[in-house]
Amino acid sequence: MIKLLHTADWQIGAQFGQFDSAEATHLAEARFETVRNLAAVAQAHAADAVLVAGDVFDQQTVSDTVIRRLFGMMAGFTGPWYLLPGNHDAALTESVWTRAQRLGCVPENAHLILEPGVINNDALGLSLVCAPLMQRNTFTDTTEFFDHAQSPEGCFRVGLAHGSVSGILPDAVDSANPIAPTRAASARLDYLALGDWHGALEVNERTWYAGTHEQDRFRGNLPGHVLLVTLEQPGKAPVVEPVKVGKYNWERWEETISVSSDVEVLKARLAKLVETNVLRIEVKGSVDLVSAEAVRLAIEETRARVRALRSDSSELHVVPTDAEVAAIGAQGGYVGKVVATLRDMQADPAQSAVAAEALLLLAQFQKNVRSAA
Amino acid sequence: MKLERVAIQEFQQFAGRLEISGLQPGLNIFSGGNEQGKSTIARAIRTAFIERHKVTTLTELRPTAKPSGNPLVEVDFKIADESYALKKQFFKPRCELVVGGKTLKEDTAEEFLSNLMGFTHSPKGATRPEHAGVPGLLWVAQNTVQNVAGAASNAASYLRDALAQLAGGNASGGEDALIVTIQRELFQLVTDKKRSPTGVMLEAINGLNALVSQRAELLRQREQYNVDLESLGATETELARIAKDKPWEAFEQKIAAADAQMKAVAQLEQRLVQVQELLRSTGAELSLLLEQESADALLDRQLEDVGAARTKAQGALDKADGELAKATQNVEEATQAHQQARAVSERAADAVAREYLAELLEMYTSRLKGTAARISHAQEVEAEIEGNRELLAVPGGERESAAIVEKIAMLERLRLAYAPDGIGVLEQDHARDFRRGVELQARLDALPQPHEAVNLVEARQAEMLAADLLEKARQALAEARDSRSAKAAAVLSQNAAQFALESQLQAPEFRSKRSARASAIVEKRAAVTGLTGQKEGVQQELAAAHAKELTEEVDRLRAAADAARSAQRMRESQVIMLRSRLETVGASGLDEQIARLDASVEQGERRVAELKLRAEALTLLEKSLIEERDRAVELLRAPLTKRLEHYLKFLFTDASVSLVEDLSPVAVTRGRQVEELGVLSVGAQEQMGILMRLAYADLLLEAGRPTLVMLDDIGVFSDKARRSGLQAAINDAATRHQILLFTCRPEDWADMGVAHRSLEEMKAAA
Repeated sequence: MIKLLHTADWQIGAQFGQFDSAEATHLAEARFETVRNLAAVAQAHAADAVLVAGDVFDQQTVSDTVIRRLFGMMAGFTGPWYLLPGNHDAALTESVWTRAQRLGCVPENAHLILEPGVINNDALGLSLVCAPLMQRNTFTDTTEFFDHAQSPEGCFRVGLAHGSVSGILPDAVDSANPIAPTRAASARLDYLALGDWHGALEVNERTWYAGTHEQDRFRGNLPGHVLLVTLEQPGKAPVVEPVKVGKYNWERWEETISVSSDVEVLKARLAKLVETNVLRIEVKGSVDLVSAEAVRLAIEETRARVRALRSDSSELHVVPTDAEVAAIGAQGGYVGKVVATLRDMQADPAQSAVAAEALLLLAQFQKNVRSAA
Repeated sequence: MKLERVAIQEFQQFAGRLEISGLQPGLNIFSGGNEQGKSTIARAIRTAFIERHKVTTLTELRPTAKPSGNPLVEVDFKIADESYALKKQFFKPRCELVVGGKTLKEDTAEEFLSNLMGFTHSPKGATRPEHAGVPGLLWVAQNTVQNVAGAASNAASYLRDALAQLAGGNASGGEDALIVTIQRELFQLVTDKKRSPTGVMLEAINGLNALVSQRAELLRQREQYNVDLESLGATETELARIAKDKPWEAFEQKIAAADAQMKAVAQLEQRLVQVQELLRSTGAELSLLLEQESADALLDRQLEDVGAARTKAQGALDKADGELAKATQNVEEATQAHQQARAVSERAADAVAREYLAELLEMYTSRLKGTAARISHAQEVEAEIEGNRELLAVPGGERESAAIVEKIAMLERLRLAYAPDGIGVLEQDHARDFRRGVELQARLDALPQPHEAVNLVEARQAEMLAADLLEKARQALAEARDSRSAKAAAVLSQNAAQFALESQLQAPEFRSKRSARASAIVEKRAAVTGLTGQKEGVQQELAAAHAKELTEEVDRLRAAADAARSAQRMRESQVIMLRSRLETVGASGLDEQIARLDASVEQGERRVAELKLRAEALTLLEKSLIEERDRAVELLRAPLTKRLEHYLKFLFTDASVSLVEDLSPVAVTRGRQVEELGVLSVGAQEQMGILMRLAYADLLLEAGRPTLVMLDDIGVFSDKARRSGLQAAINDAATRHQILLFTCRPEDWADMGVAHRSLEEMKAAA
């Protein structure tokens, strides 16, 4: 029996421009830290080897420091690491991998798979059939040779590849680096460890995507996990167990505020978010001035609490009540007419964001002017 | 609004107390000289309403005569049948407003008052013009009456409020302050004039642009990196393939083969040179021999020529001999012919001589007979003459004598005719002729008897012809003799020449040398033919070897080999160069920088979008507010214009006026002439100012606002006609508003139909 830890798509060096730079820095940092966490998990589960199925690095030319740090983060697991180049870090003539080798920072137990072929680990009785990407995009199935790749008799036969399994993944039609869904069977693999899809996904009994170790987008498809794969004996179906290693949970909310009580409900939900949350919130609907300001306030308070937050309330219409209009001293005179104009303009999607903002500003200024008078 | 009573105490001109009561609802005129306190009354009313009682800065309110005084103003007034009593003291601050049985105090009182009257108090200190509102507009201080534009601008919002009120809204005020606030916020983001980004917005946009161009530069670098990377892959593959194939080796083998061929060609070329040299020397030798032989052959030809010449000379000689014999014979024959001709001629001459002699003899014979006759006749005459002479000689015969003499003379003449020279001469002649006859007979007899009759002339001619022929024959003979001897000499000369040549040619030494040369010529000729054949053979071989093409081929192959090797070396250095470049760029973390910049650009774009949204919202607010305000003003403009034109009629016939958005007048149109306010005379400006205020007052009244018009020392710049127009206008306004008019020229306002209150009298009464 052997235990393998299957992970992929670390995307070290990825940046997060959709957030403020401070938030983005934390998110980028988490990708390193979760590798350390992952190493600890492997060690704790006494895994025999860690398979990283591509896209270890987000880019080819990351800084030396990034390369050194990553390999440093792997120290927690002393067993063999098998690192496969994916489309982001393909094994080109000159690549992030050749640089890592030149830097001399690749630990002895880390194996860089820079060409297709079979790697035998006699101690484990493991035969790894590997299809590293030699260029960023291929349009042929690089795992085709798996079918007739030779491996010692009685060994576990495990495939390692990076790409999209044809016909399985959403939006994967015509995508680059195709992999036949029947590869595990046709190549007589005990297990086929795949990378590229950022969530943990079972393609079939013997074919799995591990997903990224640390969530990096707002898709709730079981990201932030590694797969603990137990192979009892060659030919027998693997036992696959997802293990959570990721630090941050990314959530995407689309809220519609119709009545002022919706604001209270939203505030209550926001209040539950903690520092490991990453939120993208879009608020729509139509509210009075007080509620609009309350929504804004609640979001700003949440921003201070969670790891990262991106909000969009451009489709939240502001409709002041008569009392509010009076309160901002705009019931009569031409200010009143302006308030009415701005309220009506929000019906036009092209102008609603500007009109809502103008209305909020007007309320704010009028309040200030009157308190100063 | 109507003031009923005003009390002023310890205020500027009034160190004591002044009570003014019984004020009329319409026009009230206060007269007094300068420094009597007219303006103090106006100032006191103004101050009581619009200055805060707590103000400490207005020290000029204290009377000069009593610097420690605490100015106090009391005003009793009515608005819409409601009575108000205001009491305000400064520096010992007190404020009290009694209304409807209630007493409002201090700030509450002042707040109530400002809402009632339509103005705002300054938050701090003395009231500034922009706060003075309706009072500022209607209560004109001395010499400021013409400054209607500034006051109107400050009161414009109150005028608009008045309109809003007419429409049923609540009074608010401060809307222009809102616009100012919005503009202040907006102009932090965009510029006032061009509305181009400024401040934080410009910073954000510039920052974003900088990031974008920085990223463009890095993307360019990455493009280069990718190109290099691809180039490295391709070059390495090619390098390995070429290193295995070694294409230059094939070229070098071909070069070796070609080199061998080149050597053979070189030998051939050397051989050709040798053959050509030999051919040249042999040819030269042959030429020399041929030259020599041709000199000798010239002798042969000379001998032949000499032989021919000799034969020809002999022939000529033989011919000359024949000609000589013939000439000789000709001479003999000519000689004979000549002799014969001479004989004929001599005979002919004899015959002629005979004839001649015979004739001559005959003549002589006849002449002898004649002479003899004459001698006989002369002798007979002579005898008669003698006979007569003798008769003569017998004397006496005289008559007969003359006849005789006559006869004698006739006989003498006859004798002379017969013998002119005497009878003796005739006898000599006769003798001589006779002898000659004898002689002639002798000669004639000596001559032979002729055989034939020959013409002497012909004979003589024949003889001369024969003589000529003979002479010619003799000459021909001489010539033939000369010719022959010349020919004979020529034959001798040719014989000598022939002999000389023959002896040279036949000399044994000469002959053996010449025959040796002949065989040498044959030999050399054969050698030249042989060598020429060899040369052509070698040349053909060389042509077949294509020496030039071979050289070019070798050059080409060598260049190809060199090129292949140097291309490979280029590839090696290219790989090194590309590797080091890629490693350098790789180490700079290019992708990572780009990813960071992507993130920064996204953040920057968000920031710019937020600022833009704010700027757009502010712009929208500003635009909407200004539009609405202008629309409100527009609504006011028509009624105000109407009121103003109502008052204008009192001063100008056929005049109209235009108003700008703050409702101040800009231009007056009289007839067809448009005059801007600023170019009107001071008098006209003052008049316009007053009329404007009266019109504002009408409008405010219509809106239900309290109105009180105070005019201080007006009309001083107006002529009499205008002043009376102004007075009519004021009288008209006084039917609607209470008007307090202060003047130092009571006589100007004597016919206003109201009693003047004299300051002097009032002060005296106090």
